[in-house]
Order: sequence, then structure tokens, then C-alpha cells
Amino acid sequence: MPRMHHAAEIPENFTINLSTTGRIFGFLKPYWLQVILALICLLAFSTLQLAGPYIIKSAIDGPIADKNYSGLLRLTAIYMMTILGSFIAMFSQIYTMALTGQSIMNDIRKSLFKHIQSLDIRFFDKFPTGWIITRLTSDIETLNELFSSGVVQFIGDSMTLIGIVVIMFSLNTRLTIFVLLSMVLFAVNVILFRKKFRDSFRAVRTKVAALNGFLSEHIRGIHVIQLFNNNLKVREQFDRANQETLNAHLQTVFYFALFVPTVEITSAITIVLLLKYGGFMIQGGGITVGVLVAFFQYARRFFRPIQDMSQQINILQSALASSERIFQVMDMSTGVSEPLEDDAVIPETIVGEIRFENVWFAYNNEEWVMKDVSFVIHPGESIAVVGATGAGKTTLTNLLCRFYDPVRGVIRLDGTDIRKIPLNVLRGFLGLIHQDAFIFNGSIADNIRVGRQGISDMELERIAEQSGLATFINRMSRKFATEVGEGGRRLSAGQKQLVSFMRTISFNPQIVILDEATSNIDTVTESVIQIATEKILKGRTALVVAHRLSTIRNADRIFVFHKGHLAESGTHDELLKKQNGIYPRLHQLYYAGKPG
Amino acid sequence: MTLKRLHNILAPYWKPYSKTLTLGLLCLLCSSSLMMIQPWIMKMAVDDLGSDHFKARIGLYILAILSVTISVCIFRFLMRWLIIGVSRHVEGDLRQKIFEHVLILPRSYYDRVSSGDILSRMTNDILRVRMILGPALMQIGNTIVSLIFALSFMLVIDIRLTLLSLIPLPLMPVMFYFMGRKIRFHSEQVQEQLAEITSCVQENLTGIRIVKAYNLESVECEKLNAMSDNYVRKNLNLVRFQGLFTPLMTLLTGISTSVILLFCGWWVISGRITIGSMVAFLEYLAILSWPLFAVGWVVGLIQQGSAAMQRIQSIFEEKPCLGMLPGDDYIPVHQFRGDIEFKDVCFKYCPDQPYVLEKTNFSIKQGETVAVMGASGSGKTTLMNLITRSYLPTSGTVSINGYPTDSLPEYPIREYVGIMPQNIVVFSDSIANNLFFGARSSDPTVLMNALEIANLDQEFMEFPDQLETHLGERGINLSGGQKQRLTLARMLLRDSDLLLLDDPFSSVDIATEEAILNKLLQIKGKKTTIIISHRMNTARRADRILILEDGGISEDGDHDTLVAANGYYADLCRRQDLLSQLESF
Repeated sequence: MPRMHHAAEIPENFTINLSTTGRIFGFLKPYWLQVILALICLLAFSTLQLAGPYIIKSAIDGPIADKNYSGLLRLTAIYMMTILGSFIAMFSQIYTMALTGQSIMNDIRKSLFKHIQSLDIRFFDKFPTGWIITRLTSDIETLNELFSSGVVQFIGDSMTLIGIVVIMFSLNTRLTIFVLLSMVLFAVNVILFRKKFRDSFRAVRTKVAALNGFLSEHIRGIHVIQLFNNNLKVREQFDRANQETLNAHLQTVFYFALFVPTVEITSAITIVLLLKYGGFMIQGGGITVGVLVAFFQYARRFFRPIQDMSQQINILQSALASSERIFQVMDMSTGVSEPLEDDAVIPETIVGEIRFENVWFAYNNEEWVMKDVSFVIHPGESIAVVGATGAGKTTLTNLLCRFYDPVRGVIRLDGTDIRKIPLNVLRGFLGLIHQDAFIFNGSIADNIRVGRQGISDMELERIAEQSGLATFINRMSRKFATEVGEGGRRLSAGQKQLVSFMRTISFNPQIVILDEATSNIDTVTESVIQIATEKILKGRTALVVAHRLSTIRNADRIFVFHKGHLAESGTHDELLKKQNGIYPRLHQLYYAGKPG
Repeated sequence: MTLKRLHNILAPYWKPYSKTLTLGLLCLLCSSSLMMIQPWIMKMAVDDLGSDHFKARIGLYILAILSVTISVCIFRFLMRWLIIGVSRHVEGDLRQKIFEHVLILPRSYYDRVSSGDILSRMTNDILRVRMILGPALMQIGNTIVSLIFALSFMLVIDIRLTLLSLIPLPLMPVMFYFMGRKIRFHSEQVQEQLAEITSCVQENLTGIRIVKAYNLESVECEKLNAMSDNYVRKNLNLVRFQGLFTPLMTLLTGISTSVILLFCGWWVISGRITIGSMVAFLEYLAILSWPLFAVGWVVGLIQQGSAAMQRIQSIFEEKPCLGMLPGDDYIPVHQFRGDIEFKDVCFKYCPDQPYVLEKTNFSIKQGETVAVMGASGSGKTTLMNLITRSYLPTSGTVSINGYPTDSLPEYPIREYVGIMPQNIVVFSDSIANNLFFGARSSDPTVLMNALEIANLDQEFMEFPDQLETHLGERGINLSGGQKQRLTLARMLLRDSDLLLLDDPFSSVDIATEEAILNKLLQIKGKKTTIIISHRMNTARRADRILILEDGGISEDGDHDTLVAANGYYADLCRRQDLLSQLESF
């Protein structure tokens, strides 16, 4: 199992990586028009929002002071319009930015998936399914936050702040300085609490993770707890972890409960300062009442953006961590590479001669599962591969499909090194029937067509006929339209194999690679499978990892694999005659007394 | 779930904290009402701005504003600290109660319910319940108090103005509620689509060899692209409502503000109200908008919380085991000898499944060593599960020392047996704690003995922290064989009279197995031992071998007898012989 999960965690001291940031913004490029539109909306919104208090100020100082009714009506109408305008601007901004964010996520998801599809089997061996899925889902979601709220919000907040300061300065310089001084107070406050918050949140995260880990482990292992009569001790342990989590939570509650009031006190101090000096200024005729009222309102709006901005930094950090993990996958390259263009050989057709020349292979370095294997399979010949578990049978099929490349040696198809044939061309000649017949969610027809809509219903019937499976299909409730369920769970193991047989036949491959299933199958299906196997192998070069006696008997030759070597080869009868050989024993152990 | 039912279910959890909670609510009342005074002071101050009183009174106003703010802050702090604190305490208590209950639920419950489900009850659902007692409660209190005070102050200033400015406000909670429903609907759609993408990718990854073998990469990409496009569409549907939220709130408050601007302005001009009243009005409106808005939010919280509580409640309704705790051993363990008898035992795990055991009869005497063999699925593990009373037989009786298990509580039975289950469980804890898990004594010589038998004494002592070495996620990983031998030592430390070993050497090589078996049989003395095994060398050492086939005992006897009988066991011997021959090639 890979040890990658640890690398996936956010490092403690996270620094913003410029190249990662650059790459993220590269995805933003195609949508620059939308981003500009969103920014314009944002600018409009901020301006209109700030206009509100100003209009009220004008109303108080202008028409209300002058007793001008029509002026008041006009200003109210303007106020209403700014409200409506800011509504429209705000919504357009949110929607445009969500659209942009979603489009980018869509692009990233698609290209990441496409990239993953191009990686070789070693990648899928190395990383667990859950790990890959997390990259494609939650990591991309986190990145989305950055676009839909983070970046634009940050720009918006800074614009609002600047706007407020500009307006305040234009109204009165001295009062503005008071407000800015109180902002320093606020900033000190935020900085003081920020560390406390970070530490206590971290403590909560650690404790909650520990508690959940404890729970999941002990619920999964509940039978051991119960069988060892250890309930009380486990309960005590749990209580301790639970208590620690509670304490961590309470500490966060404490800091938060303390933080909110300090913000309010800062704001009250600002109001008091404004009231005192503003009041004296009004008395001295320096400013009007309206200016002071406007200052009250602007001061209140001043604190929000600052608070928001400190939150944006957290979003930014986790989004960057996510994107690094995404790029980590995007930067992985396939170990099974396509041939260079000048080197590539693209055969139109093949006769189907397979040649292994001194092939060595190991999944992990130096743990050889295939040692110096050489053989030739002639066109149209069918070969049964037998051997004990771990003898290297499946490796043979893996190498032929180029899921992996040999560590040493060459595999040739019609004399051409298969590494020189483009992957899709090579695999186009091969038909692989995997041991656990893989069935997609959908109908039987979908599973045979696998995306090739060109295959008509008539052709489906013909395929069924060819593989001797027409009766099987006719017995299904809705024939080809029968839904198979997720992972084909509505089909039996045998039925799944039959469907995958038809899939292979539909591709009409020149070479068939069949890894026979070992699972228990009822005798009726068994005989159907036997007939279908014969039909599928007929006239094709075939390599069969055999578990059925009938398959072995019908094969032209048998390859006996033992501990990574090709130990014996020959026909069934020839091999049985060698009294001291491996085959007679294998035969007794696995095939004698089995159906077929 | 009705509110009354919810209250009844939740009452036992908050009752212990009712004093704290009452105090918290009192603080809420104080802080919210004091909050309302502030605009009033501002109103008076602004009214005085133009007059000569200002100089004389400004100090008073400042003092008033600051002292009110400070008291508000103190009460706010206490309110949050007390109410949210209680909700955290309740969360902890609830989690503890659930855990205590699931600890004593029978095996059949765990067959039915996935551990992921139980975990989700104990994490997500508990959090939702907490939201009712914490934030929701606080918000309800705040809304009520703010509404009463703000309205009365506004009414004192002017009744018609109040009514006029409030016209758009009742729309807020209604809007919040309906939009909340829309948002929940659309976010469910988004979640579903995400789940679909996840299972599509999962399917792709499981079948990646087929995908590659048939050049289906581009087909798969197209499939994902379509789903991804759909996901974008559904997300945008959600944004259409979610993104409307804040703008709408701003719009509604803005409309109220313009109403006030127009009419207040008008009345200030005509001299009916002062300019201070107008400023205060604007303030109150700002104060009121969030609490009103929050009503809809609270309704959503309560709905989600009560659904979560219902799911939690369903765990409590599960019937626990007969007696799983100390004190449940009303039949003294020391009376047990070691005789086990299966009489006409039939068993199936589920009513709609076929029988695993059918009319199984056998008995084991104290001190015997019995090997149980049979194909996979023949019911070997079931046999052990019936002895430990993890399940009761569907019909027939299993008895230990003459006591039928259905009348015995679990506790005494498990005090009596030492078991080594097939699936190896090692906890992320120190080696010592894993070894002493359920041990009867912590005597170091007993420990060394057990480690020696399990061939672990040297291996563990070579670790940097020896027995204090931490295992699992944050520690080191043992190999499969080490883990298996650790569970053997753990069983030995229980010092039980009946040893049950379910395939105990599957991850251990044959030489080590031989060594362990020799030592084990040497010390076992009068202990009854039952070993499930696939290997001949284990069976050969047993006094008796039981072969399970077709739901019953098909062969019973020692090695020589069964070889002579030329049945399943003899066949097994031949196969193992062939395998070892192959190994030597």
C-alpha cells in the first residue's frame, strides 16, 4: 500500500507557493471576460453600497434642513434606485463568479480525469481508489471556494475599504483619522486573537480527529471488545477522549465569546470618539449633522471587510494545498509510453504470432515474478497456461496487454516489438476477458457496446448467435435491455462472464486473452460458458489462463508456469506422461474431479 | 417529529444543565435588551447636537454609551460561554450515551448496520442536534428580545412610522424559509450528482484494466464529461437561490430604509419628529433585520436537528445483549468445567438465508484439543460464534458445562473463553495496551511467558520503545504475522480455561507455526482447546479432528482414524502432500 496519504495532509507551516498560484490562474485565463464582468459588478455594488449613507447625509443636510419636500422625494427615489442597483450588481457578481468557478472546476475535473485515464496500471496499483476519488472531488471543490468566494471577495473587500476611506476623507479629514486610529485598535485585537484562534482550532481538529479515529477503530473492532469483556475499560478510554474533545471545544467557545465583544467595544469607542469630536465640530460649525450621521454608518461598515479578509486567508491556504495535490497527480507521467512518431509501427492487420524473448518482470524491484521466459505462439494456436497461485500466469496477460512493460527482454507481435505499436492499435488487436468480468452500470446492450453507438440491435443479435448465447439473452427479462445494476450485481457471476464474452466477440479481436474465472458457477451456466469459450477461441490466437479441464484439453499446447519460469510445455497427453513433472501434480490438484 | 416530542427526547440531556442554561438565557435577555438602549442614547445625543446642552451632556452620553456597551459585552460573553458551552456538554454526553449503548449491542446489529452508519450518527447527527441547543436556541432568544424591545422603542417614537417601516420585514422569515427549502432541495441534487460522479469514477477505477484493454479511455472521459457538465448545471441552479440570499436581504432592508427616509424626512420637516428620532429609527431597523432574517434559518436548523435526533433515537431503541457487564455473572465462572455440547443445532444468520449448520451434534470434554476443518463457508467460524454466544442457535442447544447458552449472559461465558478471532484487530495504541486488552493480571512473568509462546519476546524487545511502542496510524506497522501472534499473546493473557483459535496461523510460516504449537500444547494443561485450521500439521497434533461438511459433522476422530476412513480428511492430506511436492520443484 502506498504511503502517500501523509503527503496529502496540509503541512504545518504552509507558505504560498508562487508557481502553484500561477498555474491556478492559468485556468482562469479562458474566462477573463467573465472575471472582468464580475469585477465591474463588484465595483458597482461597492460604490452603490457606499452611496447609501451619503444619500441619507445629503437628505438630512439638504432637503430636510431646507424643508424641501420635492428634494426629499427625489433623494428617496435615488436611494431606492441605488438599492435596486446594488441588488442587481451583487447578484450578477455572485452568479458570474459562480459560473466562472464552476467552469474552471469543470475544466480541471475533465482534464484531471483524462490525465488519470492516460496513466499506466502501476499508478492504479499504487494509489487506492479513495485517494484518487478525493483528488477528483473534494480537492476540486475546495479549489472552487477560491474562485466562487475567495478571490473576488478579497478584491471586493479591499475595494470597499478603499472606497470608505476615500469618502470619509472627502467628508472630513480629522474624523477619518479617528476612525483609522480605531481600526488600528481593531487590527491589534484581530492579530492578538488570531493566534489563539488558530491554536485552539488546531487543538479541536486534532482532538476530533483522534476521537473519530478511536470511534471508527473500536466500532469496527467491537467484536473483540465484547469477546474480551473489555467494555468498561474501552468506555473509560472513550470518556477520556470525549472529555478532551469537549475541553478543546470549550476553549474555542471561550475565545470566540471573548472576541465578539471586543469587536463591539472597539466599535463603541469609535462611535464615542466621533460623537465627542464630531459634536464639538458641529457646535463650532465645522461640519453638519449629516456628515456625522454618515460617519456613524461608514464606521460600522468598516469592520466587516477586515474581519472577512482574515477569513479569506484561510480559504486561500486550503485551496492552495488542494491544488498542489491536484497538480501532483497531473504531473505524474505514464510508465508505459507511446512509441515515438518516427519509431511507431502501425500494422493494418496481423496474423497473430506472439513471441516472448527472455522476458523478466517484477512488480516491485528485484522481486521477480517472471524470470527469463521465452516462447512462441503461432498464429491461430490456442495456449492454456496453468500453474499454482503466484506462478506468474496473470503477469503474462498483463505484459501482453502492455499494462506493464517487461523489465528485461522483448515481447513481439508478428515480429514487431509491441512497444513500437501505439497502445490503442495494439489493444485493438487484443480481446481481454478478465477473471472478474467487469460489468458497468447500465443495460446488457450498453455493456456490449461500451460507447460504440454504431452497433445496431441486429448486430447485437448476431454477436449473441456467434457466441452461442442467444438462448441466454432470450431468457433475460428484457433481453439486451435488461439493466444489470451497479457492478452488475443483478447478474450471477456466470452471467457476468457471458456478458463480457459477448463484449469481446463484438470487438472481433485477432488475439484473445482469457483469464478464466475460478468462482463457483452452477452446472447449467458452466456448460454454456464452455460452449461460448470454444466459439470464442476458434480461429484466433489465444492465451488462456485455464481453470477448466475442458479448456486445457481443447488447447493446442499447455504452458506450465512454476515460480516465474516456463517449466513445461506440450499437449495434455504429452505432459501427463512425464511422471516426475509438475503438470501431473497440478492436474491432480486442480483439475481432476472438476466439472467439464 | 413535533416540537413537543423533540423536547421530550432532548429534555434528559439538557436537564442536568438547566441552571446554567437559565443563567445563559438571562444573560441573553440582558445583553439583547441593553443593546436596544444604545440607539436611544445616540438619538438623544444627536438631538442635542445643535443645542447648547451638548457641551454639558456629552460626557454623560459617552459614559452611558461606554457603560452600556461594556455591560452588553459582558452579558454577551457570558451568554455565549454558557449556552454554547451547555450545547457542547450535551454533545459530549449524547456521544457518550450512544457509545455506551453500541458497546453492548449484539453481533446481529453489526451485521445489519454498517460501521459507517453508526459513525455518522455519532459525528454528523450529534452536531446537528447540538445546533438546536446552541446556536438555534440563542438565536430564538435574541430574536424575541430584539423584536420586543426594538418594536416598543420604535412604537414610542412613532406608531405609524413603525408600521410603515415594518411592511417589508415580515417577508424576511417567510422568504428565508421558502428559499431555505429550495436551497436544501438543490443542494441535495448537487450532492446526488456528486455521488453519481464518485460512483462513476469508482467504477472506472475498478475496471481500469478493461477500460484500457478495449481502448475505452475516451468513452469513459465522455461519460465523465457529461456528468461533470450536469454537475455544473445543478450547482448553478443552487447558486441561483443561494446567491440571491444576501442581495435580497440587502434589498428588503434597503426598501425599509427608503420608506423611513421619505416619511421621517417629511415629518422632520413638518416638525412632528426630531432628527434624532430618525437616526434612532435607522439604527433599530439595522438591528432588527438580522434577527428577523434568522427565524427562517432557525427553522431549518430545528428541522435538520430533529431528523438527526430521530436517527440517534433509533440506535437507543435497539435491544442490547443479555448481560455484557461485570455484575451480570450471576452464574459463577468457577463452576464451569470445560464440557461443550452441541445438540441438534441449526443455525442461519438471516431468516431468508440458507442454513449454515443443520442438526449438528457433537460434544467436547474438558482438556481435549480439537481441530475443526472444512471448506470455506462450511460453518467453522459459526461454531465458535455459537460457543461465545455472539449468536444463539436458530434451533437446538449449545451448552457449556450443561448450561444452555440462551439462558447464560454473555459476560460469564466470555470470562471463561479466550478467543483469537479470524480477522485480526489491533488498536492504535501501545503494544502493552494491546496485549493487556482484557487481561486478568499484569504480572510481568505472565506477560513474558505469553510473549515467549507467541515468539514475540525478542521481536518486541528490539523495538525502540519496546512494549511502549505505539502501533497504527501514528506509530509503526506490524507485519501480518506479527499482528496475528500479538492477538495470540493477547488471548493467552486472558488466562481462560477454554481456548478458541480461529485460523490462528494463516499469516505465520510453517516453521513458526510448529514452534508455537509445541509450546502452546505444552502449557495448556487442562484447558480445552479448539483450533480451526487448514493445515495438516496442526490437525495432526490434535486429540480429535472434526470435519464440517454440508452443515454438519461428517468425520470425527484422530488423524490415523480419519486417514483410514479415506474421506474428506484423507483427500486433504493428499492435496497438501502434492502442494509440498510442487513447492520443492
